[in-house]
Amino acid sequence: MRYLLAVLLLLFATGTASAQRLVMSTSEPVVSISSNFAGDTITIFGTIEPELGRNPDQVTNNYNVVISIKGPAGTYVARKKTRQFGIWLNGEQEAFEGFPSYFSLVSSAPMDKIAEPQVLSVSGLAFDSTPHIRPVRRTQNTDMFAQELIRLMKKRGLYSLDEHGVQFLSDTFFSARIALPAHVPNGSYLANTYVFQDGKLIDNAPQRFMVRTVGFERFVANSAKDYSLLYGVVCVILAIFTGWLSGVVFRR
Amino acid sequence: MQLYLPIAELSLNLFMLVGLGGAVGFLSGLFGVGGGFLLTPMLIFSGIPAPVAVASVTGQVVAASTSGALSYWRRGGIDLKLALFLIVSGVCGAFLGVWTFGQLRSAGQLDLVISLGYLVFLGSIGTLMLIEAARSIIKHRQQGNAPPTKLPGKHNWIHGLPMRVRFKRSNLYVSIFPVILIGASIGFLGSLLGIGGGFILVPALIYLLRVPGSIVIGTSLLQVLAIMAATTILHAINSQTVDIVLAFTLMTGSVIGAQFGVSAGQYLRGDQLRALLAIIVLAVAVRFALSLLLTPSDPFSVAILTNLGGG
Repeated sequence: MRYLLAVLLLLFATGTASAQRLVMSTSEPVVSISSNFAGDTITIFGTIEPELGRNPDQVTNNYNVVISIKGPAGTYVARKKTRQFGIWLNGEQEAFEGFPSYFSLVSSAPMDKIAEPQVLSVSGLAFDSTPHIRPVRRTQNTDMFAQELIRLMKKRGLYSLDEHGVQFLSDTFFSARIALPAHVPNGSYLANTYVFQDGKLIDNAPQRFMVRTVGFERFVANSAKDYSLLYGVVCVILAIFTGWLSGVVFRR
Repeated sequence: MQLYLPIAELSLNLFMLVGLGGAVGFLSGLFGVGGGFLLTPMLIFSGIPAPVAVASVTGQVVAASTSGALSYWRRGGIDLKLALFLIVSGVCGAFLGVWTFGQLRSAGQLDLVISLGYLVFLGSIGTLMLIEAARSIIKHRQQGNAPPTKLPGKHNWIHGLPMRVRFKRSNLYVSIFPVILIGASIGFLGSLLGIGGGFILVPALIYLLRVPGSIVIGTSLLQVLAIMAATTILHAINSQTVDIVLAFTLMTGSVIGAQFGVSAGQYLRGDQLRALLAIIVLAVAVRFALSLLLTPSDPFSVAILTNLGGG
């Protein structure tokens, strides 16, 4: 929150100076995960400036804003359990490449009031829009598996849609708060802000931010990856020491 | 208070984790088993991904077996030669188990095999233990005082196999094949299912090899300790799913809980303890059976195949 003032100042400073219509920023360039991390909220601010040469008084300010926040992409596989030999086991499955691990859509109005579904889909402003659904092998069940995958991600709190999440503080200045759950994946996030007017996309601006472990947690996660043998040995030594210490303390 | 687990990449309540470790530690102190077979499923049921649960519990089992193994070592209750044979074969089994673990994980059948494995092993061991304990309790009721259980004969067909080796401490002269087979099976199952395997190893040593009762627990603890230590390192290298924060939280709870378990165990008779343990083992088996047999509330599941580009 201490960034708030700085961000606001920066926004107005750059906003008036440039010809760009949309200027936005996030409250935190890095979301830190430490030992007591239980989720976090980031705030996205932006301002929509009228085009140069136009009289601000004549501008009709019926702007709508949609912000999409996408986490690092990976290959996800959706599996369906089927009954075989009397027991339930994973049968059919479909893999999807480049699937966002986190996807949040916040808007200033219901999505269907902002623009036509095709317009939104072209910009990737729907969970199942083409840029996000890249099956490794397309089958007749691909669409069903894609929908189920999205449903499961929503259930886990990693995909969300908030149609009243963007608030206009003035005619041109907006802010949105996005909640990141405790099990948010680490990595690089892309917040993309889209401005619509009369059902048409008039501008968009991307902004990156990082979600990553810091301090001890970062050290542990990196050690497990980069020095896996040493990490395993340290785990064993720690376990033997704990067991030995308990034997000494409790005199078994 | 939430504690962030850096490998599992999620937060869980610290007191819940220590309490879980403590409860399992209490039972392991009470029954003299590692408790991995209870802890791994409980972690999976509380939302930790199965690969992380299995790999981290192996670390916890190392801690749980160390204090026990040390106290048997001081009393001379370990057959080092027998333990060495079991450990060498067990490590080979563990290699195979960790490799299978990785293969099943990428094939999407790890959860199924873990469930089936628990169902088969806990179900059969639990049933056998319950029958044995019930017989013993009935005998105790009828005769007032149970005679010491006598093993039928000193030799069985296993003792007729070739390539015999003498284990002085255990007073055994037995073929190495059953020894290697038992060691390797425990290593394989332990690394695949995240259990120490003490509750399988002890009956196998007693009933198949006729290892004397005074030696069997200490030797089994040493084998479990060595195999689980090797498995922890193998999991750390192969699947990178050992969560040291999770493992340490669990082992802290369990070593404390174990002390209370040991004191509580002194108020119960051996056959009663075994009957109780058998019921708990069977309950876990039934829980797995239900998850396999009942129509799942959600037939769909999601898994991530590649590691995300972490920052």
